[in-house]
Amino acid sequence: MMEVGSYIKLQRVQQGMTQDELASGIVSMSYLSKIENQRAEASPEVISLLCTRLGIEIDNEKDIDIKDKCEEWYGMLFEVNDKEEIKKRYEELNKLMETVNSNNYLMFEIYKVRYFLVIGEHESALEQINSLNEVSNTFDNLHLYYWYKFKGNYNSLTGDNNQALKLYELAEEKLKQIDLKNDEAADLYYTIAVAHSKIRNTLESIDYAERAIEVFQIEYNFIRCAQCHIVLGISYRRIKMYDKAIKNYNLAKHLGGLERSNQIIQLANVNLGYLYSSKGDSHSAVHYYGEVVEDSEVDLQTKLPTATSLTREYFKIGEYDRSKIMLDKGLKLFKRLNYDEAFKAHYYALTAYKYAMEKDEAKFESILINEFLPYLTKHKEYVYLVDFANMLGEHFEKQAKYKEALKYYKLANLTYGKLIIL
Amino acid sequence: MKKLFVGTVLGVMLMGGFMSVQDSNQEDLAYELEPSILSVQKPVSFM
Repeated sequence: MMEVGSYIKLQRVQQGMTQDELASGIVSMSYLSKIENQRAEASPEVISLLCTRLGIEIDNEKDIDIKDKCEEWYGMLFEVNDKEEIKKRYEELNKLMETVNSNNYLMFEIYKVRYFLVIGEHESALEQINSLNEVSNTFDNLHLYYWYKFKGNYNSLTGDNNQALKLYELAEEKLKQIDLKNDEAADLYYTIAVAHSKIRNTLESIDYAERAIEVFQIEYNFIRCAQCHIVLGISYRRIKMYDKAIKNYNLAKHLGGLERSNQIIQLANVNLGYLYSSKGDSHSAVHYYGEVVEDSEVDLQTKLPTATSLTREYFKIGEYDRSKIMLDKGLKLFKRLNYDEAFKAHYYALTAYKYAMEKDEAKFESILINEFLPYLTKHKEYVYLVDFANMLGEHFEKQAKYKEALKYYKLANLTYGKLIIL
Repeated sequence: MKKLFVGTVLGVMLMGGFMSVQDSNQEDLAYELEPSILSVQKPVSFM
């Protein structure tokens, strides 16, 4: 059985009760603290009183059944699954857990962090992390592994990739001390590869993606292999190994086809678009972007960035009519995403192109100088910053406002310097 | 007049320098999309 002290502490924290409130009339506050931190063993009567006040029961018989149900649910949080089904199982398990002092309780609570991330409730994930912080000193190595990993996931998804990597490093250390299946380690390596990719640690990203793919290949897990191939494609493009990048993207598409995963195929297409765009081959870039944007099955979170890139590409080659159509489409997509803050950069980019094409100089300058460039600086979105600072520089140059032009060309160059250091 | 001329020439030269750096910068400017670190969700259809 899980130490009852930890169980009580966790319940108390989650219910927002202070030690004083729980202990009052039953034991002293200092004694409760000892019980909670397993420095004293309370009598069954005291435990019973504390549990009654918390509204919980102790039932020792249901544990084995729970373990199997938990394992099944944990698996669902890593593979292709229906969100509704995941939620349903969660509700069932949660209800069961409320009445049982189980060995599985703590692990279930830790997995809740991952659960909330999977269903998109980042606030709830943070709340769960904060409440679990109180009892993290009672975690064993296995608990700690998942604790670090899922906290890392939270940081990854909220954009703090450096912090995420620190946590993944801790998880990787724990991996050496526990006995886990290979695919669990592979999932961690893949996650680390993605985190490195996001901050352009290209060689590290390749290293971890290779490690992950080694395991996924043995298991014939085509989807996971395809994901790794996309990460590799991105990295190889960045070190200008274009053939290798294209090969990886095409492998991803092939594996995606075998698994009938349109999502994987189109993600590879988006990145192929970026590759050709970066090589100056706008014709090919437009072809790949177009495939993604025209596909009704592609999720909005992939489609909007693609629409922005396609707007940009058409603009670059002077096809302003097509650029305008794509721009409007992009802005509609942003609206359908409920103006999600995570995609604000795309809103700004599309609006900047809109004003540029409408030749509304005042609005163009205003949105870039007062909103977009500061936003990009704050969020360290260096790639966009180089691009749009450059665009503003060109704009001022055309107006013979050389001092202003120089200012923004300089910003573009300084930012580019930061990019290549990363 | 002379100062204005020299200033303009210098300005244009500097910008030319910046722009040639911009061109060589273009290759690295790509907005890649990494795959998700969460479950691979079934895609949602949109018209």
